[in-house]
Amino acid sequence: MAPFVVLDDVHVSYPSPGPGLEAPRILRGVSLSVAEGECLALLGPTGAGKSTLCLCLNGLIPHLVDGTFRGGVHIAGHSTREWTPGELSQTVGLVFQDAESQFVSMTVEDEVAFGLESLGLPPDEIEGRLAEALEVMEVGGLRSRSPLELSGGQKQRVALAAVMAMRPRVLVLDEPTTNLDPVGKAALLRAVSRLRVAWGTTIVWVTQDVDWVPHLADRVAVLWEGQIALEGGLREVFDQGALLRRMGLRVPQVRELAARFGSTGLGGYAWLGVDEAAEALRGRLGG
Amino acid sequence: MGPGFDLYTAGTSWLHRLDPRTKMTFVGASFVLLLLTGQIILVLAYLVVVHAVLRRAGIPWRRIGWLWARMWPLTLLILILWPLSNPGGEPVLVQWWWIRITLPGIGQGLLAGLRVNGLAFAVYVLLLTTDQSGLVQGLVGIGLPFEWGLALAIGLRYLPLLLGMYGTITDAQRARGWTPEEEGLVRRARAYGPTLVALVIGALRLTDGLTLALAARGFRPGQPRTTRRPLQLRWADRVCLAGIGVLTLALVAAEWIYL
Ligand SMILES: Nc1ncnc2c1ncn2[C@@H]1O[C@H](COP(=O)(O)OP(=O)(O)OP(=O)(O)O)[C@@H](O)[C@H]1O
Ligand SMILES: [Mg+2]
Repeated sequence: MAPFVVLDDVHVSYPSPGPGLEAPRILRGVSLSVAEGECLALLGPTGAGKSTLCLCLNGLIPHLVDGTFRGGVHIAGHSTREWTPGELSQTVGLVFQDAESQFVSMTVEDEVAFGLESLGLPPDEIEGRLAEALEVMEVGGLRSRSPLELSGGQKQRVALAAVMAMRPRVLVLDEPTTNLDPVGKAALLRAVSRLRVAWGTTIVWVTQDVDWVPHLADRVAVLWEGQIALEGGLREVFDQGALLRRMGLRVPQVRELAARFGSTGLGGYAWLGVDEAAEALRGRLGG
Repeated sequence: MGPGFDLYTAGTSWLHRLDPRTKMTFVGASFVLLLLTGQIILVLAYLVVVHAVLRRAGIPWRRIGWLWARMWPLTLLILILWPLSNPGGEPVLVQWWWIRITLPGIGQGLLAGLRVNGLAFAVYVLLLTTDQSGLVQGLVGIGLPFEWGLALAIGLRYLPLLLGMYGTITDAQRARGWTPEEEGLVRRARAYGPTLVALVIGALRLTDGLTLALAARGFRPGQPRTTRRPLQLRWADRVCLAGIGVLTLALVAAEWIYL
């Protein structure tokens, strides 16, 4: 499939924190592409610049965030320089890492409707999409609550509902599962995966939850020291356990388990999910 | 965040259902009247009417009391400082060293103190019964650009906090054993410093973050938007608007002719 999201040698520095101090160079030549309908998991240690990369995808960098930007980001063949962030946000929906910082309304329903009103949709379509988004994200009961008064997990789901309702062709999720309990994580990932099926949404998913990566991602990229240090299919990337550990990351636990067996009788496996591991073990042990 | 961060008190009363533009007209007319009049009795009457209106709209006394609690420190300050700084007129009640307090001075202070509350409550009528969406639409309706309307709607929520800042700081200091009555104004003013700075920085950060949040949600300056619940001037609005208009004209005329 044709690449839909393309980053070409992207460099980003934030303004120097003070006179005589060097401007922090966060992205130092990031090249990456995501095919239409694909889900890419973006890993990287804290401070690697993952959120910065997200801001590049929806044009907030270079249009609205201070700093310098070099290189090119293309969405559906258009450079992000050509579009204003407002226009770009109709194609690329970003769910901020800090959900609270994207809220602009005093009630959940107004919050979700905001983007739809920006799109200029008629009121009845807004109502329809609003109800749908609230239901999919299971926040229908919170309609008239203030988004600022919700729990961390509820905030994240409202933030996702608000972006999802706009039906962007690219969804950028910046650590959307951080504040969720395991049940919440599973529910959120199920909702995102329903979106993919329904609309063929392209997804860039920043996450630290490596154990969940196999549930949704087709491919993995690792951002480290300002560049994409590793990129490829899940097995390919998670085979590099030692390298990942050096970058402060880890592999999914079942993959780790398979690796520990090493050259024993159970060696030679490279499981990514529990089901896969259980299947193989049942085959070997259950006889 | 305590109450008052969002003054809006959910409800379905007639006042809640009025078009925000009608309520804004009420605020405007109230400002004209309150700033024009020199009659304490008129300002008092205004406050009584406003309280009746708020109660009719189902705003609980607790909420109103909370607003008064934010207001009284400022009111007290005015009541004390006004007569001190306006020592003109007769009769003189106190004359001691440089201090001179006159009856007209006290009257003026009373008027100013009540007036501040009148002005605040005029705005509270709007804020207590209009949700953010209505407020923004109303502000856009009277000609403000959308982002200004939104920023103002968010900013207005801090109004009671701002007005109450004096009280909060004094309370905090008092809790630490500070007796403001015994200390100079300079120190008191210095106590405001950090809070003021925090507020200004908070406001700047708010608008900064708001720009990003708005853009990320498809907001384009100057681009027409639709709205889920469009504003509508109903007959109740027309009646209210006519009433506000007639009353304002009558009172302004009365001031003009008799005073
Ligand atoms: N607006 C800004 N101005 C200056 N420096 C910034 C700004 N935003 C981020 N940074 C710095 O850039 C670096 C990368 O930040 P970024 O948020 O992109 O990392 P991240 O990979 O998302 O980290 P995390 O996993 O903690 O979310 C950090 O050192 C951060 O302090
Ligand atoms: Mg981040």
